[in-house]
Order: sequence, then C-alpha cells, then structure tokens
Amino acid sequence: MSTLFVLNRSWHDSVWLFEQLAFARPGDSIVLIEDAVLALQSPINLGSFSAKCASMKISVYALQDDCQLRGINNQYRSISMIDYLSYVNLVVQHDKQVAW
Amino acid sequence: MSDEKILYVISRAAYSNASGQEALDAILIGASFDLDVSVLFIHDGVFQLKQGQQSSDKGLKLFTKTYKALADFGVEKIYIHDLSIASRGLTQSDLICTVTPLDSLAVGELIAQQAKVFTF
Repeated sequence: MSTLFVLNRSWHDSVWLFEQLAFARPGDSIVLIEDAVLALQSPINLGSFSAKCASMKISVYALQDDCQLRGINNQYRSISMIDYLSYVNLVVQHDKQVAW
Repeated sequence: MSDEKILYVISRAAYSNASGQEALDAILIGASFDLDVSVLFIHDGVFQLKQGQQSSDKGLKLFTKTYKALADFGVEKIYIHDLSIASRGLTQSDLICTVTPLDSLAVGELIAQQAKVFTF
C-alpha cells in the first residue's frame, strides 16, 4: 500500500517537510506543488533531507510549472522535476494520496 | 462495520474557510455508512479542538463542539499528533475532549494502514 504525499503549502522553516520522513514508508513518494516548491529555495540545506529520502527509498518530486512560475531553481539532483503528466502517473501508481 | 479503513486528516485551523465544517460533514457521512473511520488532528488542525472558542456573530456556528460528540456517531478512533500540539504551546488539557496522542512514527503507521485518506 504505497502512499503519495502531496505538499502544497510553504513551510518557512521546512519543519513540515522534514516531518514527512517520519510519516512516509519505503516505496512512498513526496511531491512538492504550489507554494511547497519554495522549500527548494530554503536557506536550510535540503541535502540531508534528500539523502534520508534516498536511503529510505522515498522518491521526491517537484512540479516544474510551479517552480518556474515562482522563479525557483532546483539545486538538488535527487529531487526530480516533473510535469503534469508525470504527476498524474504518480497519482495512478500509488494506492492512496495524502495531500496536506 | 466494514473493513474499509478511512482516515480523515484535519490539518488546518477552523474558521478562515469552509474546510473545517466540510471535514466534520465528511466524517459524519463516513460514520453513517458504517466505514471503519479514524480522525487525525495534525499541524494547525489541532487548534480546532482548543478550548474557549467563542463567537460574537450569531450566524457563525461553533461546529467544532461536535467533535466532543463524535463517539455518539460511532467514531471512536480520534487521534492527535503530539508534536503538533507541543509546538503550538498547547497540551492535552487545553483541548475540548480527550483524544489519543500519536508520535510522528505512529502517524505514519496509521496512514499506512488506511485504504483511503481524506485531508482537510
């Protein structure tokens, strides 16, 4: 039973983002959409977040359109930029979604 | 009771939009269909259970009071994320009803067990 975690809110201090690691299980995925992509611009380095996700076999994605719209550049190789079609595919591939 | 496990997640505070009232309506509908319903208050959603909510506007209904009565509707599994209450300067004694605290890992387990999760 895999879960797709969809984050759409900006977390100034990224605490909420890091907390997803406690909620997610191996095989789950995390997608950053809307204001959640602002985390990629966070002064807190997401390197440790990305490394932990990789070791837990949790994939992390960010919606490209939402990044472009906000002028956000993705500096993390382990966070994949996706388009809407890939986003829909992720929704289909997972058993359920938690969007918060 | 059906085997279909459904979790309602309340992650936003109550009154700035309709999502709080909609969550409560959805929970009551789920319970009326005899589903295996759980409710989780997390993040700013924990403020919905805070004591002392008052309205000076007669048209504004304090719907959050209904959470105290959810057990009467067959919803007995009500959880709250312990870190979310602690990080907002609240304790269990600030809440209008007794709910089961869960740490972050237990929240993950709860989500993993569900067939469907609805977030509000």
